[in-house]
Parts: sequence; structure tokens; C-alpha cells
Amino acid sequence: MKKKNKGFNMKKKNENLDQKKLSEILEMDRRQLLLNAMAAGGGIALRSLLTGLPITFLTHRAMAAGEARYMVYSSSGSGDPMNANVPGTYMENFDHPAVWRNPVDINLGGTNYKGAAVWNKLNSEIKANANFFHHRSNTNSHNELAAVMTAFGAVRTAAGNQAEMIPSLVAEQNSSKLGTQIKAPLALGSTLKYQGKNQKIYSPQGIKSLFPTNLADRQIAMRNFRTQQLDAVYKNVKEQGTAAQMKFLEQYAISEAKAKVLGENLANALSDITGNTDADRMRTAAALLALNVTPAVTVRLSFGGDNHNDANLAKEVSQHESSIATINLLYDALKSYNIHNRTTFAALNVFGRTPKTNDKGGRDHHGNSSVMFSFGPDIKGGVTGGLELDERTKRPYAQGINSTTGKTDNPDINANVTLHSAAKSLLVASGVEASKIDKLVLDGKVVKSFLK
Amino acid sequence: MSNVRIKMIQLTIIVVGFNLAVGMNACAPFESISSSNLSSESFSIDSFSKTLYPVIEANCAQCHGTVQNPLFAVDDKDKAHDVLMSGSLVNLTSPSQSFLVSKLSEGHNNFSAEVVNDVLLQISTWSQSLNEFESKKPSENPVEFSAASLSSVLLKLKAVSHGGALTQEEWNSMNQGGVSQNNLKDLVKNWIDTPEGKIKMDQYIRLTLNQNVSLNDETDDIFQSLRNSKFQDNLRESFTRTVRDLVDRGRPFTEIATTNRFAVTTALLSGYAWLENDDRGRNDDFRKLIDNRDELKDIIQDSDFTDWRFVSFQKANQSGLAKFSNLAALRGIGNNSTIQTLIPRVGYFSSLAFISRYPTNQDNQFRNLTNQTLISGLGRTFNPSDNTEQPLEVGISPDHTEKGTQCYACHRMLDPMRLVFGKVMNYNSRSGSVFDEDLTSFAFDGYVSPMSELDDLGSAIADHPKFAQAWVQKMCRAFNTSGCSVTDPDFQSIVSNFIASNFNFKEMYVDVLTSNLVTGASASFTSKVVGFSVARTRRNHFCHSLEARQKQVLLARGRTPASFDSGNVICSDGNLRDKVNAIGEDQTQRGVETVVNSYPLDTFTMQALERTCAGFGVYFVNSNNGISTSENDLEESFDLLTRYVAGLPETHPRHSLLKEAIRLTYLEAREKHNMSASDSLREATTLACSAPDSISMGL
Repeated sequence: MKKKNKGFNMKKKNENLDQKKLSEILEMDRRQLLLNAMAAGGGIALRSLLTGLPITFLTHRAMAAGEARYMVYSSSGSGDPMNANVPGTYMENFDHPAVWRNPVDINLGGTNYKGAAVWNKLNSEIKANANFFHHRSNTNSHNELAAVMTAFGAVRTAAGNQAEMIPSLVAEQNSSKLGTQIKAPLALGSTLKYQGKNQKIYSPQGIKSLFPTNLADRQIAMRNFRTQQLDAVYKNVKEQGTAAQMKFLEQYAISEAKAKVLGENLANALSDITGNTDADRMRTAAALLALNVTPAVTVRLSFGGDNHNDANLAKEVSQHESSIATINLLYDALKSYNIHNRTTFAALNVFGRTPKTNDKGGRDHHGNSSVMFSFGPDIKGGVTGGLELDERTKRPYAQGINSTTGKTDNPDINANVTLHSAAKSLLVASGVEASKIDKLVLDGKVVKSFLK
Repeated sequence: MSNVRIKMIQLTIIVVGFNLAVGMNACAPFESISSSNLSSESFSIDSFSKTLYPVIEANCAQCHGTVQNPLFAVDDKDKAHDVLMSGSLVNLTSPSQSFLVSKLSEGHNNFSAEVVNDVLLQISTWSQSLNEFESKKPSENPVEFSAASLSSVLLKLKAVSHGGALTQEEWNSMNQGGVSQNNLKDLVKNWIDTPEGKIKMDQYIRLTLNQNVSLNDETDDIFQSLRNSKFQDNLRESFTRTVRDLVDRGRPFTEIATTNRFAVTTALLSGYAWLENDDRGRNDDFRKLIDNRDELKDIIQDSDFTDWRFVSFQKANQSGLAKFSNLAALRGIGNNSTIQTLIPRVGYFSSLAFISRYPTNQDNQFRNLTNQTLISGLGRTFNPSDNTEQPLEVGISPDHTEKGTQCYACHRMLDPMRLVFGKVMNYNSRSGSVFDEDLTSFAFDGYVSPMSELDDLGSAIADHPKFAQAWVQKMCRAFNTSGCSVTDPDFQSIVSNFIASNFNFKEMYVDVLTSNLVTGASASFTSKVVGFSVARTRRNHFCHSLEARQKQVLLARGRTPASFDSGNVICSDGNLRDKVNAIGEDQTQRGVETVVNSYPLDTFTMQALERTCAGFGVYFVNSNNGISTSENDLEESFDLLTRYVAGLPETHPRHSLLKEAIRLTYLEAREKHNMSASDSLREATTLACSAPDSISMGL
């Protein structure tokens, strides 16, 4: 109802427009109007028109909690040692690479935690809103990445008829609020299903081929010419056709105009993409979100990967370094588009890896200890949950969590549903309405201390 | 959309644009909606929101708004409305006859009489308001249903039944001979008997019967060792050929659930053999079973994937199939042979494709396989409000579902049914047995039948009173991308005829196509309530059309085109392949009752279409593939692009306009931008390929 009133007021504000001029304008080609307005308004104006969102919304820097967020979601089926050097792991029976054997203070949201120095290389703005959520993924099978991404079926579509992956639910819930061009998330590196359908994994270069950067002026001119010609051919149907015809042509015209402008802008945004590296994926992800193409993008970062055989944990060290640099790059890219304060990032893998190294120097599968690394405007910097030695195996296991404090004391979240709770908390931090969350995630609890 | 509504949108955009231009903050665009510019569908949704929805939200949403099908009480009122209408849960003509009312009256979930009365009252109020809306003068309802023109009807029917362009001869036959239901049917019958039409029909059947397995997915599949495109094509094609044979022989379509006569290749026989006569890893997860790639890869030949024949499977206590790697013996199994198997092969639900697509495991215990069997055959999944009496309680696992719960309401029907799968195969889909009950029972959607073997499941589906309705609805959705109202008199008439014809599929297919439900030539009950829209193309249809139309072009140029194959040859070309993948395609999803075939014509899709058409231009402007590159043949090329690529016959009202646009596009490229003749023709081809007529189905 509020929107209705706004629309009405908007009309009233413009009642003073010269009626004759208004009539003339009304006769103008709507597509050209879109394009003219986009050209006149620049980037924000473009996005305002593309999305239907007011400029005030797009320029609002600090959005209130509960606002729909974009998401970049990293996930790996390798079962990654991302869990092995984060705050909370400097304890008995834990091996760390020599270079990080001595922990350093890492300031997360104003509090210092002991962790590997490499995590201190995160951009300080990221660290202010970064959280390490210790949980159990409850699997040691590489094949269960898809299951983990749905918290073993606990994350559901809004319709409730099937399991949904975390980034897909964010997309489903946020697309209309963000006014994105497409509702589904886009996969740039990780397996992804949306409403039961496998999504194609795009490479940055593949997207570039859809939105080519090197169109000659004459090619652009020809596309515009074709549009004009088709407008002329279908003018009569647009004006006097059946309701069904007019509706189809309306959508055709709008999408075609958006595609054209998006194409040119995305092409420009992707002009620096030269390959399919992690950095290219992050730049592409930021561009897709900034141009409001999709609400969520999936990527795949490695912090050591499937490192059963990793002498001196060298692979673990080098991939930590490179992936943290890539995350910083992502943040910079998001910031350059002014959407860093409207985007949630999360990395959550199929399982973590063993605290102690094996006889080949590497780490084995460890479904009882994994970590979700995340940051975003609604995420409170810190550490959620924690590890304790299991009496039988003498390995650190993720423990149950107190849903208010986020600590392991007095837990009301069973350790076996800490994955579900991580998913639930992340979804709320991404703008999924808290009032709906228990219907959308059928187990676990939201951890209040995870949220700002 | 009414002119009024278009003007409103224009005004909104102008205001936003104006505000941007002057640097003011723009408000979000919003359309002021009044009853004068609402469609029947919008009005119905609005009325439903104010009448029935609050009642079902309060009483039903806990189950039917979250996890329990049918999901008619979800938060999204549009979706809730769609579920109620497409599932015929309410009867707006006779509210007291509504399924919802009768269900509650029968004591479903022990709702009080007040709730039942309230539901009936709200449906009645909704119905009454809709009737009043419908009865208003046309001038008060500017977007009232407007009949599709003859050209729209013909373009749509050819697009969905054949894929090729409507020819001038076909256009003339309708215009000069006069349009009657019979000659429209004759025209459609001609189309569906062509190779293009047969492949189109086969695609619908393959999709709706869930034979569309994709071994490239990361889904579990039984035949990893044969993970190649030839075997994938064999899997997809096998039961489709089986059904095609039934249809061509005029057999009752119900035999899709009971036939044991399958079309197979040697490669498929090897697959069937693997499941029942090789003991390696029988108790392992089936994904680990077949590491036998090496045993087959050096001996299997291309011809083993193309030597199609029909065999009849017969259940026996000993397998008559040779070892899976004894290809010589399997090759020797001739046409019309009878083969004894340990696992009965009967009906679509026992094909390799279906079993591969819906494998089971220790946890699932054939439940998903059973559910998908019902979805594929009867278009419905289990529903706790289905109070069909299940006479037996066998196979209901107490540790899986507790009596008296909502879960039990479905499992009491589902669990006894699944036993017939577990009697003949283990959780790895291989011969064996995990259940041994002698007698179980089919109980679903008002029909009960005793079962002992897998064959009985097929018979129950074939004999089910809703079989005919399910298939008319499946075809309705295939052609319209939305369901029809099953209470629509046109719909019911087709169902009756389908039954009366002894389930003659081809007749039903033509009946649905030529009905008002699909043509929109005049208003139907469905079009009043659900609305009527121009169907958007999907990847499979678009690719099929490009190929069908290429054939027409080559024939028109006196060339001999290759025989029409899969409808996917052009889209596999390197110039199109990457781009076309971004266009949505018809598909089925686990647990979803309907084929998913409705996609928004969104920005990414438009861009993909544009780029695909540009790629098509590169492919098509080639004398062997499409149009001549000679500047001496320009007029012919412009004509071919208009008539076939865009699909507008010469006397179509838009033919001359579009042809002129094609010509001007060529000239603009050639003369203004100094492009080569070939590149200029590519620009013209892109225009023809991406025109609204090309990417719609019956504009």
C-alpha cells in the first residue's frame, strides 16, 4: 500500500508538466527513453532504471539490518583445510604449518583472537565484519557437497517442496527485493542447484563471450538498427494486438533494452578479464552483482584443497595466501561498485580436514570440524562455536553452541546441527526474513551473537 | 496489456527518467492498479486474496504452506492461486463441488464445521465476484480475453507440433478452404506425421515420462562406465521409441505402463545384463560397481549403439541375458526376441533411463522411485489429504513414520507400493530382493488395486480413473506452458474422447492442440480464469525450429537436406553452442508434478538469444547450410529469411514489413558500414532469427 501511495504522489508532483509536452513524450519510443535516461543518469541512474529501485535506495550506504543482500558463496567439494588455521584452532593436538606455528592476534569486530598470521592479511574492513563459525558438516564424503550446501535437506525452497542450496535460497528470497535481472544465482565455480535444477557453471570467459567487449562501433550500430527495424515491424501489434501479444512484446522490448545496456556495461566491467583465474571469477562476480544481474554468485576458493599429501603443508600455505588475497580483491571490486556494504560473503566446504597431519604431511577428512568463514554488513565480527578434544579420538571436534552467546558454554544447539545453525544464521544475515527462517531451514537455530 | 496500462507504465518511466535527468531522487516506479485494467487472472487472484486465502492461511498453511503438497497455502498468493486452479481444488462454477470442500467435509484433519462452512462461503464469494467481473461490459474490462487471429493460431500450432515455418500453401488452405475444427485437425495431423513432428512428440513423451537422463550431470547414475553421449542418447531414446511404436500401432496409450516390449540396442542390453548377472560389488554402493570401463571400451563398437530392435522381456528365475561383456551373444538377440530377466522390465518406470535417473539407496528405499513413477504416469504426487483407503499396512516402517502424523498420511499409501520394486532389485538397482511381502496394495487418488509384482503397479496406473485426465493436462501444459482447468468443459470433453478412443494418444494430442485451450481462437473457461498468453520459446524448441527451418530453406533452394535428426544439430555447432546453453529448456524436477517449461523472457535470455542468433548467422550464411552468399541471390535470401527463419508466409500481414526490415538491415550493413556481403547477410539473418515471431510460439 505504501508503494501505491508513493506512485500516486509521484504522479501528483508532475501534474504541472506541460500537458502537450507530456503527450508528446508519451508517444516517444519507450525503449529510447530508457536508453536516453540511462545515458543521462550514469551508473546509478542506469541501475535505477534497470532495477526499478529508486536512487535513494541505490545510494544508501548503510542499510538497515534485514535488508536483502547480495551474496558471494564459495564452496569446495575437496574438503578443505580452511578450518585448520583459523581463530579457535590454536589448541592441543593441532598441527599448523611452521610459518604459522605461533599465532598472532587477529582483530575481529573489535576483539582479538589467536589465529594464523595469514588471516591478518584480510582487509581490515573485512575483519571488522568477519566471523569464523565452527561447526560439524557430519560427512567425510566428497560426494556430499550438494547435500552440505542444503544442510542435508534442511534448507528448503519457499514452496517447501524440495531442498535448496544456501546461495539459491538467498537468490530466491532476495531477487525480487533487489530487483535483479534473473532470479537464479549464477555459478562461477562451484556446483549449484536452484529449485532442483542443476545450474550451468559459467566461466568468466564464457560470460564475456555472451557479452563481448570488443564490439566494433558498426556492430553496436547494427544492433541498434535491428532494434529500430523490429520496432517498426511490430509497432502495429504493440498498439492494437491482443492482450497476450502486447504483453509478450512489452517484455521483449524491456528485456531487449536491458540486455543491450547491460551488455555494454557488463562488457566494460569485464574488460579486464583475461582468463578464468580465481581473481577473474571475483571480478566477474562483483560486476554481475553490481549490475544487478543476479542476487548471488558461487565461486570455489581453495585453502589447501584435497591435501592428504602435502609435505610441510606447503600447498596449504600457498593456497591460503592466494585465496585471502583473492578475497581482498573481491572486496575491493565490490567497494569500487559501492556494494561492499550490501554483500555477504561466505565460504563453507563439504568438510574440514584433520587437525593433526598424517604421515604424508597432509590432512585427512574431518567431518566433525569444519568452519564457515563469512563477512558482511549484518555479520558481527568474531568467532562462533568452538572446538574441544574428543575423548575417544583425541581429535578436536566442533561443539554445541549457545544460540545467544555463540560460545560453547551452555549450548542449546546440538553439535550435530551446527551446520544447520550456520546456514540459518548466514541466511538471516543475508536478508532472509527472520520470521520465515524456521520454515526455510528445518533444523538448528539462529545464533544471535553472529548478527549485528 | 491494455493501452491504459501501457500508458501508465510509460508515464512511470518518464517520471523516473525525468527525475534522473534533473538530478532528483526518483521514486520506485509503480503502477496504479484499478479494476479497469485488471485481467481476469489478476482479478481472480485479487479476489482470492481477500476471500479464501485468509481462511486457508489460518488453517492450512502449517502444512500446505510449507512442506505438504498441494501447496495451496504458501505465502505467495499468486502461487497459491495457481495451485488451486491448476489442481482443480476449487470449483468456481459450483463451489459446493470443490475438492477442498469435500475433503474437509470428509473429516480431513478434523476441522470444525465452522471452518468447512467458512471455506465454502469464501469460495462462493470469490466465485460470485468473478462472475460479476466477467459480466461487466467489455468497455469496462479493456483487457478481456481477445481471440487469437487465424495467423497466430496457425503459427502456434505449427511451432509446437512441428517446429517448421508455416508455409504459404498451409496458410492458403486455411484461408481459402475456411477454417473448421476438422480441417485444422487435418493440417495438424499432417504436421505430426512428419519427421519433425514425430521428434517433437517424442520430446514431449521423453520429458513427461522422465526418460531424459543426463549422464553429464553429477547425479548418481548406474552406468558410469558407459558415460558417453552415445549411451546417453540410447538411454533417452529407448523408451521413447517404445512409446512411438505403441502410438504408431494405435495401441492404447495406457500400455506405456504395462508394456514389456522395449526398443533396445546391444549397448542397452549390456546395461540390462550388468544389473542382473554380474556379482561383483553387489552389495556396494552402485556408483562403485562399474569400474568395468576397460572391459567394454575396447570391444564395444559404434554399431552397438545403433542396432535398434524390439525385444520382449519376461520375468524368470534365471537370467537369459549373457554376461554384460559378452557382446557377441547380446548382438545375436534379434528383433522380436523374448528375453528372460530376473528384474521385470515393464512400463516406463523400469527402463534403464528411469532407474538411472531415480536411483534409490538404503535410506530412501524406493520411495523416490515410486513417487516419480506416479508423477510420470498420473501427474500427481502423494497428498495427505488423499483419503483413499489403503487396505494393507505392509512395508510401513515405524522408525520412518509414526502413525497418526501428517507424514503417515502419505506413507500409508506410498510405503506398501514401493515393495514391488524391492522384491526384484536391491538398493543398487541390481537383481536381488530387499522385501519379500507376497501381497501389497496400490492406493492412490481414489483408486485401490492389489499388487504382488511390478507388473501390477503398471496395471494399476493404466487402469487408474485419472490416467486420461493426467495426460490431457500434461499435453495442455506442454503446448501452453501453463496448466488447464480440469473443470473446463473443453478439457473434460477431450478427456472423454480420449477414453472413448481406447486411449488413442495421437487423437488426443490433436484434440488438445486444436482446442480453444491451446489455440485461443475463442475464449475457454481456462482462458477466462487462468489467462492466455503467447508462449515463449525454450532452448529445445528454438533449436528444433532452427533445424526444421533450415531444412525448408534448403528444399526451397533445390538442395537435398540431411534427414531431420534430433533437432539439436545446429545448436551443437560451435558458433551457437556456448550461447544457446543460457536459454532455459523444458525439464522435469524431482518431486514436481509438472514439467517446468515456463521461463521469463529476461535479460540474460534475451542476450543469449541475440548472441545465439548472431552465431546462427555465421552458420547459416553458407550455401551448404542455409542461404546463398552471392549478391545475385539477395532477393531470394531476403525472402527465405522472412518466410522460413522468421516463419511468416508471403501473405502474412507482417511478411512484407519484416522482409523490408531484413533488406534495410542488409543495406545498412553493406552500404553504411561497408561490411562484406556475407557479413551483411549475417546481420540480416540475426534480425530474422531474433524477431519476436521467431522466439515466440504463435505471436
